[in-house]
Amino acid sequence: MKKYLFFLLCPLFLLAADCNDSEVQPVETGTLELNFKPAFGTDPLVMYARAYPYEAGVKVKWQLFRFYLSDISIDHKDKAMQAGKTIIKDIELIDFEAIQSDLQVKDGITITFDKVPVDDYQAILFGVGVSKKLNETNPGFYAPGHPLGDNYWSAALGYVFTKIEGNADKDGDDNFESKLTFHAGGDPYYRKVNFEKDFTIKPNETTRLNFEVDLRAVLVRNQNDFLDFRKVTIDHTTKPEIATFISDNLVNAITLQ
Amino acid sequence: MERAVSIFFTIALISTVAINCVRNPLLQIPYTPTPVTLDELERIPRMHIPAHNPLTTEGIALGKKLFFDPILSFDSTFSCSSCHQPERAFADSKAVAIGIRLRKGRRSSPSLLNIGYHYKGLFWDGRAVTLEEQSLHPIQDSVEMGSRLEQVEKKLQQHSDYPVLFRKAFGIIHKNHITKDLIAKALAQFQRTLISKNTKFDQVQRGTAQFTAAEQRGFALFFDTSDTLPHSECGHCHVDPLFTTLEFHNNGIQQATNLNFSDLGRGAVTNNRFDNGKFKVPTLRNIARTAPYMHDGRFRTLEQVLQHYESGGHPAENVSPNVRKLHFTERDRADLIAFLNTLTDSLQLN
Repeated sequence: MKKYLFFLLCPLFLLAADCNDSEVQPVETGTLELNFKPAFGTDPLVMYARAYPYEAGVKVKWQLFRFYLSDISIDHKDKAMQAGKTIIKDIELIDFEAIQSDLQVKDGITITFDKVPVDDYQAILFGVGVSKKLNETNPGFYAPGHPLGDNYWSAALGYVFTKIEGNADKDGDDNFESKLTFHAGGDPYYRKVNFEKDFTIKPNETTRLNFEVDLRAVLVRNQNDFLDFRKVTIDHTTKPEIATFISDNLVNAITLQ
Repeated sequence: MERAVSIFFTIALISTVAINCVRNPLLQIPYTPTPVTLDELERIPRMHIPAHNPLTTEGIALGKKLFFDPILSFDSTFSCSSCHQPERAFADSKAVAIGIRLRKGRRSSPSLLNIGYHYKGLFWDGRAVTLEEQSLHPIQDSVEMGSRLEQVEKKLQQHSDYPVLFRKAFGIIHKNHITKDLIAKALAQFQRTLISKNTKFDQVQRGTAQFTAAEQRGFALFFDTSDTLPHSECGHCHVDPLFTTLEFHNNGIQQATNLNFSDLGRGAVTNNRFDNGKFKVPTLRNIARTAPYMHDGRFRTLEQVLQHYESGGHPAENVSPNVRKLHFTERDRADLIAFLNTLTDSLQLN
């Protein structure tokens, strides 16, 4: 009986020893910060207080500019060491509503990712909007304060990806009486963007990438192709061409410095 | 010898406990709180229940008793429910709150239904972050209940029932352990149970009821879902199922130059001038029961509210861009109100 017990236990001991040998070493990590500063053309974008010249003699003041980023990923430089890309966050909301002074523009909005694997990277990628998978969820999936706890359109069963709100002075009387509301959302308006840049995550150190987001570039492609506030002041993705215009422009309005 | 000493001390300990139990009847009452799980609203973030104040049957019962008991007010004439009446969706019918000795407040009493979901700030101006913090404000406010918290603690400690209820809810071992913190916790627990989720709107969403033609058209107007109907822009701020985003906005009801509003609202809390004149977007659930409307109760009817929004409101630098001139027909107005009436539920307190 003892002999059988020996043969029964032997493989277990071997297996246990093997487990100890192949114990996963902890991956070294560092911190990655992404900083977003809002601009309107060449000017810093300050909500509420500041008026900006727009096309066709119109002046504008802004109150809200927010959009989602999905599947924020970083691309390893040495593919032999690490396969492909690492997703560091599935969703973030970039909300410039509280940026109401030059000082706040200078600080921008920073999102911080701890425990990013130490490595050399060659690009950062993300989706602008809410990815299809997450857009099938609703705020009931999340805790209070989660980025996807808000901005839900129940009638459309999806999230508003981008919100732009402000006021326009169309006749030069300095009364910004024309209300501007542009909300874009829905799977057809999800865009992906890839920024090629070499950067390194070092152990226990912080690496920062600085982005600028130009709201003017979201609304104006050139002097002949822009959202004309004399003709349109509101859209809730009811006119697909406006949501397409905003979504296509937004990816180009984000630049990595 | 050692054994004798041990027996002596054991007997002494048991005797002390027994004597304490006789002297302090609270210790004879078992402390076995029963956990409660809420039947929550769907499609919104789950209610945050702080770890230090889990919901229990005993805590909720205590909070309910306190909520309806005038003992919390300075002269024991006025309870939380004086302004937050169940039959009026936990609001009242006054333009602004009237407190003890008929003292007039500045703002109306907001509905408390679904208040447990309000994680972006409580009161019209968001000055309290949690329900535990909020609960103590009206008790001390000179135009509401006008008490001092030490006075309230003392009254409850000397009461014939409350020490037992606090023992059952929070396990106090002496009546002097009734504190403002436990009062706040009990009131918060009760308020978290005030969930409205059985309106006709909810039933339609669940597929157990159908809108009338007018209600359906009002729904489309409200949420801007039709290309052929005028847009009302209501759904930007009154997002379902709470029918509020919990955000703070200036909806253009106050007239002011340079943002110097008579009531600064959110601006008085944040000291940000662009928050002046902003107030929390109120829920529209049970709106038919909560007239008059707005933070100062200036509109007596829903028709007046619609009229205000159709006008686009008073201009100011920080008026929400979603408050803009609208063009409704008589039928549009009637259908919008028909839809708003589907937001009334039949929440009854046991």
